[in-house]
Amino acid sequence: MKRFIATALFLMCLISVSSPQDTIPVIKIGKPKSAGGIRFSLNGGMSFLLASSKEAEAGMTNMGLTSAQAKKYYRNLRSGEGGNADLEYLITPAYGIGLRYKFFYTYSATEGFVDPQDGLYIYYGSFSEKIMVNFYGASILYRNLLGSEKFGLNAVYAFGLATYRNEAEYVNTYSLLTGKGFAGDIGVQVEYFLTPKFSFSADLSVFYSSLGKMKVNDGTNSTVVDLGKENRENLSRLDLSLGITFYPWK
Amino acid sequence: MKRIVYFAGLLILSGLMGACSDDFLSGNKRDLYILTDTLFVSTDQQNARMTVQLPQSINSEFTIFQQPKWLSFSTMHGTIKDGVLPLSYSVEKEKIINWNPNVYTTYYASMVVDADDLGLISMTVACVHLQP
Repeated sequence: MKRFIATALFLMCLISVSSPQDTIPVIKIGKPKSAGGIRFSLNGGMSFLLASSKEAEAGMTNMGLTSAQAKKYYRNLRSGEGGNADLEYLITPAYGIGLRYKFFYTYSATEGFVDPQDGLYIYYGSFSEKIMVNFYGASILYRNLLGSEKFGLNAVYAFGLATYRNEAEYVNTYSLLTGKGFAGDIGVQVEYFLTPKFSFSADLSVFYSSLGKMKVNDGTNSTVVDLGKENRENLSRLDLSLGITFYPWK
Repeated sequence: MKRIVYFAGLLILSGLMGACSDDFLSGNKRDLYILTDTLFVSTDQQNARMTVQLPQSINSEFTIFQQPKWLSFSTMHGTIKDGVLPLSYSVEKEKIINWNPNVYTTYYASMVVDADDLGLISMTVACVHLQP
């Protein structure tokens, strides 16, 4: 891992400060037949939010829902579907740089009573959240072909912008919560080459981001809420996915 | 290869387009209808049924949104047919604020029904205590 980061940093420095003539040594030392091409991959799978939901569950129970309802609601919300599309340029067979787009979607809903504790009325309705997180970033790829033509082990680090969107319903009241912030994504990938141009892969990655501000829109009014350090919205998650990769230039 | 890139682009684009619709916020702007009639129930009613005739002859699913604590419904969902709203309920008189079994009186509150195809329907409920 350290080697990967060091190499990645070295590559970034090389790209940012070198003149075109300076890149010649890199080509001399590393460029075999397979370098200089485009790599395109698509992945899809399951994602699991890493943030704790205990406080949110307690809040839901205090409103009047049962503990079992609250637990099921957040268990559903913490797991969702995700996917990514990567486009990378292989500078050498082992290193590439590119672009990564990633998305995450989760939905949960329940129904129940809310007691405003006024002694007179109770309310019944739906609670639901539909969360979508998009990520747009630059990526650095390290490939280790493990001395095999069939298998490869890759590491990817991406950094960029995450956008958050939550379509929330709270007992007949609808809100749109949106935000954006810096995000990073680091992962490993096992790749199996079916042909030199085409491979299957299995990915495990950790996506991390947290939002300090959020815009709340009810359709008429819109306000920006500063969440503060203690209440930042933690979007970090674990992604497990399967995918396909193309090397069209091979 | 071009076809794959094309479909991948379409997939991403459709995901982004779908993520941009704020139509669900229109749920905050639902119409509120107030019925002028009062629904009368009594403190000794258990598993009772009544129907409410709405001014509009609609067919719609409904959910009971707001109710007094002393009124419980066997189901919170139902169907309005030709403007007729069916209700199955029990009165829990012990939950009435200032409940006094020795006083002949009427307790008033309001309830609100959320009809999917119409909006919110508010009505007054009067609970009569006839057996002091």
